[in-house]
Amino acid sequence: MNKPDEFDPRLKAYLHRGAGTPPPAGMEARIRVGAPRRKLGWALQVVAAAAILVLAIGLGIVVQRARQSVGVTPTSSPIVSPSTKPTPYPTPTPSGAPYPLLPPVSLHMISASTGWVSGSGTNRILRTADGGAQWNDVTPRGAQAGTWTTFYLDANNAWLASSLQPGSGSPDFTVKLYRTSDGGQSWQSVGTAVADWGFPAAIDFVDRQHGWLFMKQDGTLETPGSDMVAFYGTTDGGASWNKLSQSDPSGLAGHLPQACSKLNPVFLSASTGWIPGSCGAGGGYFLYVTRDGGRNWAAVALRMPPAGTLTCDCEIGSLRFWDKQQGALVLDGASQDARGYAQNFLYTTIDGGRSWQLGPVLPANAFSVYFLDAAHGWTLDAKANNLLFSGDGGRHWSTAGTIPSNSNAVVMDFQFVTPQVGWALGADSRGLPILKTVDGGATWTTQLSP
Amino acid sequence: MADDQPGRVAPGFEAAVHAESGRLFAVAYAILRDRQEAEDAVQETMELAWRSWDALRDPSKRSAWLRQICVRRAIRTRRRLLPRLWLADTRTVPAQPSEEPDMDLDRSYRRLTRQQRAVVTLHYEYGYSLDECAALIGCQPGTARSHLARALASLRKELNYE
Repeated sequence: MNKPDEFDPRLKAYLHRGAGTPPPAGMEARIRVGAPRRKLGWALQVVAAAAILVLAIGLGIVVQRARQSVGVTPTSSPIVSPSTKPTPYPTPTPSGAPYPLLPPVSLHMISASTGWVSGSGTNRILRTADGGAQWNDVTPRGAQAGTWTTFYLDANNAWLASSLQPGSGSPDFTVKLYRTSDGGQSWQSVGTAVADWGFPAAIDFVDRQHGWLFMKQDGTLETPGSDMVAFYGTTDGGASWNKLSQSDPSGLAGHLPQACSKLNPVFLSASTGWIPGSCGAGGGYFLYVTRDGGRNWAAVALRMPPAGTLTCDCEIGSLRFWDKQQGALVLDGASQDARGYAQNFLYTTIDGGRSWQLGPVLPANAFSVYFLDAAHGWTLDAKANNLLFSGDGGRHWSTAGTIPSNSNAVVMDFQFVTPQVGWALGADSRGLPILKTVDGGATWTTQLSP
Repeated sequence: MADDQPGRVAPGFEAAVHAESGRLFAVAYAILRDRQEAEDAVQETMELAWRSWDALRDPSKRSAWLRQICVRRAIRTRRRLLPRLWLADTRTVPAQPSEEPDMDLDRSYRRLTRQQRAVVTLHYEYGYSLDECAALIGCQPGTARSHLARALASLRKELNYE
C-alpha cells in the first residue's frame, strides 16, 4: 500500500501539469475566425428551420384538405388554458417522453402523501398526492422560460421565480414571479422583481406573505473566495419586491461581506434568517444572521471543536429547522483526522438559533444530515451511498441501508417525513431518479427514473 | 449580439480571445484531458460569448462568466464531428500520445465522471471552495462535496492508498 500522505502531493502535481498544458497552435486564430463565421452558421440554421416549418405547414394544409375531401368533419380543438391542469405522469417514463428531472433538481416532501419535485434543467414541476405512486405534471405552461427557482411552502402554496439569466444574451435582469395556492392546478403571475444584475439562486418564504429572493451576482466566479449577492424581499406574497441588502467589501457593521462563498439562505421567521457558506482555505466558515428581515447582517460565532481552528478550510451546510426553536447544521471540514480526512461536526440549537451547541463528529465521508426532530436523523456515507440513522440526536449512528445508484454516482438528496418514510434523489447522467423508502432507509424502490 | 454582420468583430472580443483562450483551454484540458475536446469547449464558449457580447455590461465580470461557461461546456461537450465537417475551417487536431508521466493516476483520473474531474480540478488546482465549484459546474453544494468525496475515494482505492 502506498503512503497516504503522498496522495495529495501526487494528485496536485498531476492536476498542475494538466492545467499547465499549452493550447494547440493556431487555436486563437481559429476562434477569431470561427465565432463570427458560426454566427453566419447560426443564421443558416434558422433559415433552414424556417424552411422546414414552411414545408411542414404546407404539408399539413394538403393533408387537411385531403381529409375534408373524404368527408371527415373537423372537430374543434380545446383551447389550452394558461392555468395548468395536472397531467398524469406515469411511472416509469413512457418511451419517447422527455424525462423531467434534469439537474438542478429540487425535492420537497411535505408529508407521507404529498410532495413536490422540480427539474430546473427542464423547467418542469411535478407533484404527488399519493406518496409518489403517481407524479403529476403541474408545470405552469405560460411561465417565462429560463432559469427557474422554486419554493414549496406546503401542500398547496408554491412560488416560481424565472429569470433569463445567467447565460442569456439579453440585458434583462428582471425576475418574474409565479404563484400557486391550489397545489399547482393553477398558477398566477404575481409580480416582477427588478434586479440590476445576477440571477435568482434561491427563493424563500416563511408564510404566504413574507419572502426573499437571493440573487447571485457572479462574483463567486470572478475570484475564488468572493461572492457578490443581493437580497430582495416581499411582504405581499410576491406582488412587489424591494432590495433589502447587497454584499460589499466595506467591512461595515451590518453589511454582508463580499468575501466568502455563500449558500442559499434559510429563514425561520419574517425577521430572522441565516446565510451559511465558506471562506475557503485559511478563511474558516461563513455564517451570518439577520434579525430585521434581511436588511442588516451579523457574523455568527460558533464554538470550534478541540482540533479545529477558525482558519479551517471548512463550511457550513445542512442548516435546517424542524420547528420554530430547534434546528441543526454541519460544520464540514472543521478538522482532520490522523489520515488527513475531513472531520465534520454537528451543531444544534434549541432557542431558535440564538445559540448553537457543538455536537458529535459525523461518521467518515458524511457531509450532510437530515434531522426530522431532535432525536431522529440520517446522514449519508457519500463513499458507499450508505444511509446512516441516529435515534439519539447524532451521538450514535448505525447503517440503515444502501441507497441504490449506478456504480460511480452519488445520491443527490434525501429527506424523511416520518422515521420510516423518506425519499432520495439518486444520480444518473440521464436524469435524477426518485427513490422511496418505507422502512427507515433499509430498502428503496424507484418511483420515477429515466 | 448587436452585430449581425458576419466577419465584423465586436469591440473587445478579439482582445478577450487573446487574453482568455489560453486560460480557458487550460481549465478545459485539466478536466477533459483531451486536446480536441478541450479546444471544442473553448470554441463553444467563445461562440456563446460572441453572441452575447453586448449583453455583458460589466467587462470586469467577463473572465468569470467565460470560465463558468467553459467549465459547463467541458462537462457536457462531445466531439463535434458534424459541425467541424460543416464549417469551412475544418481541421483535425491529430491525436497525440499522452505526455503524462504518472500514467497510473492519469488512467484513474480519466475513469472519474466529468463532474468529479471538474470538482477535483477546480478545488485542488484552482483553489475554489466546494460551494464555488458547485456554482461553477451548476449543482448543489452538497453534490459538489459528494463528487469530491467519491472521486478521492475512487482514486485512493485504485492507486492503492487504502
